[in-house]
Amino acid sequence: MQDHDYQPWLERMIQGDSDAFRRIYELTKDDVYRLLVFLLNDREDAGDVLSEVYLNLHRSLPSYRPEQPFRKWLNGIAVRQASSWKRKLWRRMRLFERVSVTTIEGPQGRLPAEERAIAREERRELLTLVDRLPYKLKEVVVLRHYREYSLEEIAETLGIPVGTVKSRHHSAIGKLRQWIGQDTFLEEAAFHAD
Amino acid sequence: MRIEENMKVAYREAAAKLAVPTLADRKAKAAIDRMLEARPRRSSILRRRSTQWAIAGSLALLIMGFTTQYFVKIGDDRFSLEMTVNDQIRFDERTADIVRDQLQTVRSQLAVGEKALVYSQEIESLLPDYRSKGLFYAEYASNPYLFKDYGEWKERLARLVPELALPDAEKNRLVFVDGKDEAAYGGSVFEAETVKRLQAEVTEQGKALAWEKIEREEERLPAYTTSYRDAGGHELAFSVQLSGEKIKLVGLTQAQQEKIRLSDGREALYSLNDKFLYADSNRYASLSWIDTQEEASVLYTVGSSSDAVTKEQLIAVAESALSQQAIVKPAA
Repeated sequence: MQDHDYQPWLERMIQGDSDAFRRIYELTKDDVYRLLVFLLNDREDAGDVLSEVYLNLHRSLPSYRPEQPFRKWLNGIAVRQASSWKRKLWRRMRLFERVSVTTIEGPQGRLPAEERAIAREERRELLTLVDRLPYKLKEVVVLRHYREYSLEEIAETLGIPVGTVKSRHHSAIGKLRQWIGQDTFLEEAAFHAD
Repeated sequence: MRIEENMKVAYREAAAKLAVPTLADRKAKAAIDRMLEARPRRSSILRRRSTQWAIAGSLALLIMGFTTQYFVKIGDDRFSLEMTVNDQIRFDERTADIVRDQLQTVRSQLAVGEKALVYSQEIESLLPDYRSKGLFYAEYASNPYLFKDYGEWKERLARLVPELALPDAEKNRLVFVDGKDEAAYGGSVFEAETVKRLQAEVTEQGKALAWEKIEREEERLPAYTTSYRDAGGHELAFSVQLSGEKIKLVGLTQAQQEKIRLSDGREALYSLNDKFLYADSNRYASLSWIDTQEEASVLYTVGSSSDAVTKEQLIAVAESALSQQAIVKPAA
């Protein structure tokens, strides 16, 4: 959905119309939920944070500036809420690092359909690797490659300098490359052992 | 580079499979319902704590949903006035005449002190795209009590407005006409439900004119207007609008806007509107500035619908008010 799809409801919501608020929720909930899942790597947590995002949206409405793109503004609230949730989890010692085992198969003897399926699997595994990144790096990756934000937009959303965004992004990509290289190396080693 | 491209595709593929699970959806909706139902009980507390949005006068409304051409803002994070220039207002002088007559018709049926919201086909035609977007807009009409004694009025204002600034009437050769407890023209509209009803009466039931009296326990944005005539007999309105809350006034206008700096360094907004609904001249020139006091923010506006009143004259009146205030105010 584009921002102009929300505008009529948005104005009514700002004027205090409860039905418009519910409509905005319906129009945006899946989009917000996806972002939360990618940030938190846990569907249950994302579901819990979802309601907090909208309660926060309601509280923050007075600070919304009409020249701001609404979707980006809402994303900012979701990112901050996810970050706050992470901090809470950490405090409660409920944060368990989820390290997934990744395997990348060799390229020999594959049919096109099978190749496509494997490529899909590889991409899925790539997201699993993203989940292994420290949260600060991961939120930059999610905003850059899922939301396709520019570095400047990420800086604005996270309230950090563009230089910090650049270095976090560089560091994240470096780690991913390193992990993929290691996995490939281990896989090759396993083939030789066989 | 391949990693980055792969990530984009991976996210797209993963996102396509994700939707809010029923349980989480139900939980979020319940939380939203609880919050929305609890809101009226907490409204007075919220009003004091949070920034409010209000619809400024003179064909003013919240601006979302329309193409913004440019945006002028004065003020700070506690009180700001934002005017958005927009070409969606379909102003024509004939329609404006009719709307003024309609407002006068309603006004004549109001007892002193009463106020009402008004809607009609003509009012709708001023903003043809408005209702189709499901938005609220109505005109405001009132019959305020008019204070005729300048001394009494000044004393009253001094009690109501912190660090009140009034023009130097002698220096600017101004003669007091009257004072009233509201903005110079129009008024802020907060009653969304009433507006919805009036819109429905006109657009669904085919009424030519729909209006409804409104009552407000307290004015969210108390405003006081002092009317003067200058040496040439031209009217000049000097308004103060108060807010003890964080507030953002947003208006939509076709006026030419210009930000200027007054002699004490503060920003002021000069506005020249030749499509002004509320004056027979269809014109209104005004100068607004904000005075942020400890207990309240005060929006000052001096304006005139007469084309004989120049921008320089408005600035001179504003400067004289500021210098009067400086005399009264103890040095910091």
